[in-house]
Amino acid sequence: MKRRTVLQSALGAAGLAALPAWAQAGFPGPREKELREIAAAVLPESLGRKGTDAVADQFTRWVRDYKPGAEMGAGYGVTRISRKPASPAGTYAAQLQQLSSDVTTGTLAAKRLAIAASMKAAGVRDIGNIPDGRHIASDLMTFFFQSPLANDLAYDAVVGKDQCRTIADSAQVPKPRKGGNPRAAL
Amino acid sequence: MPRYESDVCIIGGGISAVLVAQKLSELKPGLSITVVEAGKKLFDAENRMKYRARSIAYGENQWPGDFIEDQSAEGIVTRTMAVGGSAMHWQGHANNFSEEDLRLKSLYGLATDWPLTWAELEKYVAEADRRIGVSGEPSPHPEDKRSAPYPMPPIPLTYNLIQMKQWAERAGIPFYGCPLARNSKPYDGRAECQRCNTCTVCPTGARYSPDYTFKQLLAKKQITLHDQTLIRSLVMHDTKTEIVGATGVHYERPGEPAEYRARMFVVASGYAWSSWLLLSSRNARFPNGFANSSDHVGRYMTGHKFITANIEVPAKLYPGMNEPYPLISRQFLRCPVDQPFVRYDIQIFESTAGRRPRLKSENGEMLFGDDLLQDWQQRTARGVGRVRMYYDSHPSRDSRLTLNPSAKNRFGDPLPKIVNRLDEAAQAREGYTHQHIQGTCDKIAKANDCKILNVQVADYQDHPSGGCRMGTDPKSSVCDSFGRTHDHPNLYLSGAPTLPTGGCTNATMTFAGLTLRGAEQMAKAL
Repeated sequence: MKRRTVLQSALGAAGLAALPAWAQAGFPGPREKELREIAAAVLPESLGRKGTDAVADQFTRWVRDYKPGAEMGAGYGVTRISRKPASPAGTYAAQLQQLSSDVTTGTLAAKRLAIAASMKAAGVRDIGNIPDGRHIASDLMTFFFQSPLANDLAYDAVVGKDQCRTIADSAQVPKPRKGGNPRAAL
Repeated sequence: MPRYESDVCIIGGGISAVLVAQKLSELKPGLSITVVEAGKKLFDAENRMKYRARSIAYGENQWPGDFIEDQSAEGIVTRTMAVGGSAMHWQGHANNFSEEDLRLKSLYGLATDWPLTWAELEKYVAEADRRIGVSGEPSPHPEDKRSAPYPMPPIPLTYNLIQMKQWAERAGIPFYGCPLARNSKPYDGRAECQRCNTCTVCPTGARYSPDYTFKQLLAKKQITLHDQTLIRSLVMHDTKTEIVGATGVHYERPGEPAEYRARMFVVASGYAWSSWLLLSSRNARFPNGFANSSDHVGRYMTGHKFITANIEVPAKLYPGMNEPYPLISRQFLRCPVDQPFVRYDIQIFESTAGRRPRLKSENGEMLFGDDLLQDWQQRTARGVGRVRMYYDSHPSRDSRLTLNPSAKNRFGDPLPKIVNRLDEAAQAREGYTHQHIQGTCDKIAKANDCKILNVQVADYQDHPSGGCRMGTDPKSSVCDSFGRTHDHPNLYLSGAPTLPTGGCTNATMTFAGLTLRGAEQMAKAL
């Protein structure tokens, strides 16, 4: 690796680690268009553009409300305290920049190819339980596909996972989603 | 050194501690009771909806601040250290032990008998159900007859559980809704369950946690609560064996040790920290730790091993309806005495195993958008039940909690190290137990055109207990059936540490029943 490349990598890494608070608070900065394009490429098309934009906006709020260093939950048998890593906003910003030309032009298939290559390079293997900061596209997918809405879409029923509901109608089979149209829920 | 005096000093602030405090304050009005807990008060029920939301969205701790970073131990199951203890984040499964748990030696020639009968204990378990608030239906087994009905009707089975009950019972095994410390109707000032699906942090107060009782006792000025205060050792009378004091330190005033004086001391610090405190309290007459003339403190650490299987069900299920609510069967809690010993409960939960969204299809193709959603939808046609079996496995004498000189807290105290070991008989029957459980899973699957997706044996023991086992013989036990230590007439132990064996179903209500029975005896002794 050339000295200049090494230097750039080091600066990039340092920049990610020392992300100023405003960068998280102002996420995605000038890259809102790219974020929305990625959302439109990786989330269900059946949500419609308005729907994927809405998820991108919700994800933006998630990034802005992220608390680096917050105590993390621990399951049984885990007694070591772990804390949330640094804000993923810097990583996301770099990936938005890197993918900018790929996701703002071209066909849906081409966009997905570029995103898939970028996710593979970042070591993404699957959709997690919560976004892990590895890649903005996979985290956006995790953010959406682990949501109560996505669960309802998958089961084509109003299950209401993680939403507080009365116990009175527990025994009833969940009602079908209205019209089966995912846009109706957004 | 500040000195605090009271009639009773309770060391520890979990579910056993609060039940002792509540019952003593009722039986002996006017008694001065001080509860000393190392962890903080987390009396912010109004924030639990927010904590829950951040736990779901970010994986953050549902109980911020519920630990002391340097007061942990090797081999423990939960790190929780806060007023309310582990029961702050339990799921409220309120099953009971059975007669067999208390008569292992006399029925099967295994382990040891408890120094009391189930009939003696059961009425206190029923009392615990009433104090805590348990919703439940009667067990279909006549041997499970109760002295009093559950104080609340059962939480209604979800659609998923109704389907799985029909499914599992085709194999001839009766199931019913697990009794729960969750309100099926408003109870004791707390709300009805709202099926929030996150019982480890209940945002509505429907699932019992000890902070509610602590707040009631504090409001009535029936107790004094000192939180963030670690009791590091007990102090014995110069010539007698009575305990006269306990020395501790407040985490915000580490240079100022405090002394607690009382007529009676109750160590209610759970399965790890009760033994730790006794082993950490020594003098020339008890060089191996207080209450430890038998060398049994820290021994027979127990719990129950378990196996989990995910079984595909020939019905569409809808995970997310009430995931922490299981069906339970007690069919295999009672082993005939003329057959090889095996005992276990069966609990069935809704599951998302193999039904989660995934990034790659079966052939490794990366999925996006509607393709990913459709891949997920196609896998939801048949549901999955998570079947968990807690089985009876008995500890050896060398299943131990010891003090680890290489791991110390900020005050220089060696911290506990727990290594669980099964006794020889339990080790010898591991294979048979696993075969029996596998056979039951196969039977359920075969009766229903099901597919067993996977079977896993856990690598730790759940619902840990022991370390200060009760018994009638002072040479082979630490305390009697009321928790009174054999060595010190005014020192009692409560709850989990006193169990000789760990049973094969959720243990909290048994801990609570033993605690309430002990509290009655404490009141008589005061």
